[in-house]
Amino acid sequence: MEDRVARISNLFNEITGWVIAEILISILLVWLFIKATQIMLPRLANHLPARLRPLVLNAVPILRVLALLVLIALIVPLIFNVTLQNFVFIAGALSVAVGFAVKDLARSVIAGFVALFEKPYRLGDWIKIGEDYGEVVNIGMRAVQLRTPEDTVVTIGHDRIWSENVSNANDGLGTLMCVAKFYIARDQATGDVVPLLTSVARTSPYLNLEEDVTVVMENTPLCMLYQLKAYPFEPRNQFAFITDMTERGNAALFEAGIEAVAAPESLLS
Amino acid sequence: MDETLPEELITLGSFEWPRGETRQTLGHLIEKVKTGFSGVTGSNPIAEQDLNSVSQDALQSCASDMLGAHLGELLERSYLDWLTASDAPARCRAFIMPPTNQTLLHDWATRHDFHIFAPKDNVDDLPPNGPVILPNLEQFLTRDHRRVRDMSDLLDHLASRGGNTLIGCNSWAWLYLKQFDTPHLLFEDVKTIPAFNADGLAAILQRALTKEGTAKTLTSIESGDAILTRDSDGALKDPFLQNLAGRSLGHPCVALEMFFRRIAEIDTGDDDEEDAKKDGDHADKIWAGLPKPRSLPSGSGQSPLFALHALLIHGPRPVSALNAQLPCRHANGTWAQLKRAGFIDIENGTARVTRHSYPDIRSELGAAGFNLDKL
Repeated sequence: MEDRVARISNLFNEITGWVIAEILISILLVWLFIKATQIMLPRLANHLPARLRPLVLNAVPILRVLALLVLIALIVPLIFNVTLQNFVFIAGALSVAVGFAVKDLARSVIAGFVALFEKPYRLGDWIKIGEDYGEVVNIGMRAVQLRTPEDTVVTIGHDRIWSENVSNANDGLGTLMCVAKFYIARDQATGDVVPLLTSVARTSPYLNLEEDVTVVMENTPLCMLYQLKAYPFEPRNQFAFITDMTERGNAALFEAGIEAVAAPESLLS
Repeated sequence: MDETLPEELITLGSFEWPRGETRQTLGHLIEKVKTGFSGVTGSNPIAEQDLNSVSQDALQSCASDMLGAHLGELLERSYLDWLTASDAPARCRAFIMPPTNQTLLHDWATRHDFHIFAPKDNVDDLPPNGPVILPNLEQFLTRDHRRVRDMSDLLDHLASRGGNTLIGCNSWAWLYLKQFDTPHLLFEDVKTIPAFNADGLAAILQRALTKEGTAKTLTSIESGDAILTRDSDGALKDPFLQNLAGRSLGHPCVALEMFFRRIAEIDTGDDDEEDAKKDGDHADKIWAGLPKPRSLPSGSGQSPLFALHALLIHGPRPVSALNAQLPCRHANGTWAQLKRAGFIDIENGTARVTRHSYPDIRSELGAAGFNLDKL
């Protein structure tokens, strides 16, 4: 019994008032650093070109992890008497505690750590996980937050990357593909549809002039489906861009006497 | 010809900005921050309140004429023989200009009495042979899906003529047109004006001073040193013109406009004896400073940026015609805001970019992610 008490007391250093003050100051400094990067870097990113924005935004979670690692490296030697024997003892105790008490949290945190390096999403990316699509606005230790087109923030645990596909529309780049769909009735000449729709996209003020415009046509049992694919110069304009292409595309087809088909989308696609 | 001035037009794509960092948006940000603190540092050798802004219209006009004459020489070297050749391999050639040199090619064609093709002219009335100059292709451009084929037809028609056609286009319209196949296929060796560095600007200013017989010394407000003085190696001692070349993106018209917007002379009124003596030391100087960077008012949204982008692509045009190119078709408030901010002028309903603010406009558009021209 005495031996066990001695071993446990040997684990810890003497906790004095000064040690507590050091720990609190370390936590405060790291917290301030993390908050500063969370506030300053996104603001800086907003002033940068789209191609540089992801680089700056991606630095936020990486700096946070680095700061937390520094904090751990600072605090652990203050509290624990770090020897190999003690390390094995603490690691064993921690793994049991984590395994039973906070395994879901640990699963998310570990997935978040993996996500930092695997990069299935970065700040500023437009991603879809499950039914949720939106811009990544925050990557926390446990979860990622998306702002959807309906201006709703959705929080999704990182552990979803173990079990679900993550669709990333721009994958760290400054642009993403937008698709406007046109349902054209069968039994009519459609030779002009592709050049017409291409011209519509190429004259959009939202177009990224350095990317290609393509039109893909597909026969469906009820109609011909034309997908006009182009890139906006700024990913945040994607919905305005799709609206612009759709609105002007419909008008152009109507002017050209090309008949659209009217039926529920569930039947068409 | 002065060896410090560019001697040839260059191929589009090989344009090198005089100082890389000044065209970067990050550089622009830093410049803006520095401007914010300029009141605190206050290290200028002469106080701004001691200076009176002066107009040097004669000197400015002389410098502009010098520059125009030199650019005309560059055009002659590249195009004069080709335009009059009957067996040239290419019937059409393109010359790309920054959007601040609208009249360069028109003036040059007028001087040489070439046939000028303007938007109001009918393409069928073009002479079947002989040289033709189309000075501003952007004037034919409308960002409308119904007009896309018109541009291709026009270029095809010009290429099929018996004579040679020189087509001028601004760099933003060219950026837009490059996504279509026709310009890409028609034009091989597309040329542009090389960037003017500090030495080029110094040569123009020196010639203008000499011609005008001005005995005063051009002096930097920032350093207090003469900006045209050279050291023993022949390099300019003061970095003023290097900074001006960088800030103006190497476009000499922009540089001259920026230069003459912020020149001043010493204010000799209401001085005591000591001040009057000090003023006497400065009386033979024309003080020049770099204009402070401009920004759009915060919270302006994207409307002003779309308006500026449309204006650069289409060139000076009536506001009503430009509105048709914008996502928001009723943008009159936006034009007024841009005018207040000094980015554009509106004269008789026609909007045009102000030359001196062109680098700031380009920087704002770059920061917002818009596609930028290559000059």
